[in-house]
Formats: sequence, C-alpha cells, structure tokens
Amino acid sequence: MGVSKDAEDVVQESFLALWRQAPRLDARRGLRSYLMTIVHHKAVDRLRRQSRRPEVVLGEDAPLRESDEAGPEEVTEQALEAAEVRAALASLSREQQSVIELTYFNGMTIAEAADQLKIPVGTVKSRLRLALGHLRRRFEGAS
Amino acid sequence: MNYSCQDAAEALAAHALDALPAGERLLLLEHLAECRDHDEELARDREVAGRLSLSLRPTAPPGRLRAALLEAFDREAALLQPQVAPAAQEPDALPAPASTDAVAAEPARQGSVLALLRQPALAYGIAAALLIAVVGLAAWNLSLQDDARVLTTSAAGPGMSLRVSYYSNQQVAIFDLDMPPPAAGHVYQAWMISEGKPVSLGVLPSNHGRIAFAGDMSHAEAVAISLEPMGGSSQPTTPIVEAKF
Repeated sequence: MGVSKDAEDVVQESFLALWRQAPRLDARRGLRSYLMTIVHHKAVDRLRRQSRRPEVVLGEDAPLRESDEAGPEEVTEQALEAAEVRAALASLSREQQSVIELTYFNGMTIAEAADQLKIPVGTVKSRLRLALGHLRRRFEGAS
Repeated sequence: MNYSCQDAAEALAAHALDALPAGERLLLLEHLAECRDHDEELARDREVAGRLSLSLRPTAPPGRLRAALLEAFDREAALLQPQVAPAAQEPDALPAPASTDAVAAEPARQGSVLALLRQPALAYGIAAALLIAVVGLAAWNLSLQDDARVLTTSAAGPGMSLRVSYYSNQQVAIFDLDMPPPAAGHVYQAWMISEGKPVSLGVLPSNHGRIAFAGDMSHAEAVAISLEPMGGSSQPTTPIVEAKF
C-alpha cells in the first residue's frame, strides 16, 4: 500500500475480520490464503476510496521475477512457496500476466484495466478467468 | 437488469481478485445469494487469489502491530461476554430476546438501542411521518442458504419500508428502501449502531431504491435512517428508522 499506517490498519482490520469469522470458516480452505483474500480486499477497498494506486510494476526488479532475492540465507518454507507462486505467474501468457498485474497487484477494476489495455471488459474477464484456471492447475499439480 | 448464471460465471474470477466495479459486484452478490451453483468455483478462485500475495516480498511488521492486535482481540472478546441484564423494561419497550446462542450478548446491546430510542427528538412529530420501528428477533430473517453470508433485517410501516441485507463475506450492506420524499432542505442519512453509538454510513442519494454501503458491519447491532439537514450531520438529530440485526 505504500503508506505504513494504512498498511498496519488494513492488517489489523483483516485479522479482526478473520477472528470474527473464525467459527464459520470453511475448514477446507487454507487459513493463510483466506487471510490474504481478506487483506487484499480491504487494501484495494481503502485505496479506491482514497483514489490512490499502489506502485507495483512488473519488470526486471518486480516481485514476480524469480530468484531476485535468493541469497545465501537459509531458504524457508515461505520463500519456497513464494518462488512457486512467482514461477506460476511467470508461466502465464503475457496477456494474462497483464490483467493480473493491473487488477490484483495494482488494484484496478476490470473497467480500468480494459481502458488501459484498450481491450473490451469481457476480454479482461475472460483472461482473468483463464489465468486463475491456469494457476489453479499449476498449484494442484505442484501439491 | 437480469444477471444470469453465465454472467456470474464470467465474473467470478474478477470478483475473487476484487476487480469488479461496485455496480456489477452488487449484481453478482445478489445472484450468489440466490444461486449456489457457483460456490465451488468461487471458493477455488479465492484460494488461488489468496496465494498471489505470497509472491510479494514480505515486510517485517512493527512490534506494536502485534500488541495492537492482541488488544483488539481482548476488546472483541470482552464485548461478546454475557452482560448483566438491564433493569426491568417498560411495558412498551423492546420484546424480550429469544434465548439463542446468537443473542447471548444481546442485553447490553438492547440497552444501548433503548437509550437511542429514548432520545428527546423521538417525541417530535415529523410531517414526513418517519417510520419508527424496531424489529425484534421475530423479524430477523437469517438466510437459510448460508448463515455466514447474508444477514437481513427489515421494517415496514404506512407508506414506507426498509430492508437491509449485509453480506458478511463481502462486507457489503444493501439497503432496499421506500421512504416518502424528505422534507425540503433535508436528506435521509444512514447509520450503523455499533457499541451503542451511531456511526454514519452516509447521506442517502435517494429516498427509494437500492443503495449499497461497503464496510465491516459485522459488529453492528442495528442500522438506522434519520432525517437530517441538507449535507448530513455528525450525529443523528431527528427521529430514526431503526432495524436491529
């Protein structure tokens, strides 16, 4: 989110929401992914209300590049999972990466992404659908 | 506008990624509240979406954040503790709550709602004939489809009606209302009653139709509508319509 206080607020709100919903959580879903869903939703909501945009750009120094932070330090389970997700994202077509980047990582709506990419909204929806399907099969294949 | 299963299926991925515009998001939520055919697909999309954040470089949280979280949990837990029942109610006060788990902590909240109702302003008559109704548990329509997804409450009276649906998973509240036109120079304003205090949701752009508010209302005891001077007020100043969750 780029602003520390906003990020802390979002994290606190998200944990509280998770805590309140805990008795009703679907046991089949991973808790961490569930929490991330909440965090993303609240972060995007706050950014849109403040008419701000995060500064996440895909490129050579972007988080999606593999092995950009591998170092001599011990590789933890979290780092391995992060690498797996980044590899999965890198396996998407360029068109699918673009819509994921604009909507998920940059908080755009499908209408805004369509306008930026100069493609119909329906095409954005379709690419997002295909992208998530591809990622799901990739994650399922890896597990 | 009819929102078909095909429309919903095409929008699920965007919805899981928080990329739907507000208007379509509402249409999808309404469809999902009635149609369960998309549950599995949406759950799978959310699972994938939830993992995308893991690709980002983590940031070490400040130590104060953990302390703040623990304090917030303690406050939440304290609010959920059963409170001592209030003093004997007046004969025409709120009906006694049903003895269900869902209302184990209701006495303290009911006391707060009663305090609001006893504001002096409620004694005034208003030409627009605002509805004053408190919907007890008998009128609380808990969705049978998924009690974690939709909470609804409603109130009705001569020439006016209010129905509020709160989609807890999406944190969106939809007000379906039909109110008489506000008096000249006045507007309707929506409120959430939380911990006995009114929190403004905003001025209503219309006195009838469907209006949505986004936000965490999981801790709301009731929702209310008041008549305010143009531009709204920081606190409700006029008789209110109130519907309790």
